[in-house]
Amino acid sequence: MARTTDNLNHAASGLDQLDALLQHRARLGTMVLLSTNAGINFSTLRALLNETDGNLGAQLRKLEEAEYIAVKKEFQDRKPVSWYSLTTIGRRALKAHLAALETVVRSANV
Amino acid sequence: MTDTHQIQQDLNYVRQAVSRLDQPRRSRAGIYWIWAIYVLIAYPLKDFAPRAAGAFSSIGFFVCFASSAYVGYRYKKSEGVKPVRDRSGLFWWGGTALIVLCLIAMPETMPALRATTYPLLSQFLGQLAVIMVGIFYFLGGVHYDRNFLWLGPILCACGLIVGLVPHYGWTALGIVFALGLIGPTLFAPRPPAELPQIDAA
Repeated sequence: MARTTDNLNHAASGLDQLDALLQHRARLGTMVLLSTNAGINFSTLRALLNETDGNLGAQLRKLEEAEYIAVKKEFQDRKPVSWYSLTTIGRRALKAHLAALETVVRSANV
Repeated sequence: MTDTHQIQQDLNYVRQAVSRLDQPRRSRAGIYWIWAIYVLIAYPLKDFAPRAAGAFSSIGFFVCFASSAYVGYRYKKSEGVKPVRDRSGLFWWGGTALIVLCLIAMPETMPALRATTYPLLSQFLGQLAVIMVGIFYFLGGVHYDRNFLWLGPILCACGLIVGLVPHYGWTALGIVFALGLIGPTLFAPRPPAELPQIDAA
């Protein structure tokens, strides 16, 4: 009984430490995908995450405003291409969020 | 606990997105063609112009290696991804560097080898290189390209028996190696241009 209470307390503390900005799955997915690559362009992110242009654009803007990701515009075959990459702030935030998630998942599984 | 259930669903969604990123959407045939041309020239040279073989193999190897790294980077970029120094880069660069370093160091560390004549030393190191490359390709098959699962053991066998073939053994080995590289690319189905749909749940 005491152990169950401990686990619940542990899970609750993990939930408190979750980054509110990364609780949306498209934003979390974007951050995770960017964490293993130097950059991913918009259309590839959209296809990987199975999101619409509008929704993904809005989510990316929120991450950009928080300075979690950076965007760089390039021209490829005369077409503008937006390349997204993770910033140092973003990498740190993702690391902290994943650690909190791990706490929650472990507490829930035990 | 609704929150943890939601977290599990989100993590499943992220996991699927990451696994889709690992699926190649363009054929890597260009890289295999580069190496097929290299082995088709480098190995026959050991039969027809043994003295030129060493210089060509060394210079050609680095040219092909740099070219295939560049082509690989371009492939990734055309798929909408700019890779960092990733696992596959470490595998191919690291493994190749180890093979080259071992081959260079071996005559220096084995007194018996230093005493042998050049043709014998060349034959020994050549066979050893093919066997090591075969093992390396087999490991490449385990991790990256299933076609190398059978090419690796074939190369090991070729490395062992090439010394027993009286004439044009290296030429035959080059042909087998080249066919092993480009053969599967000729018959392989084209990778899908578009990514498959994600399960939303």
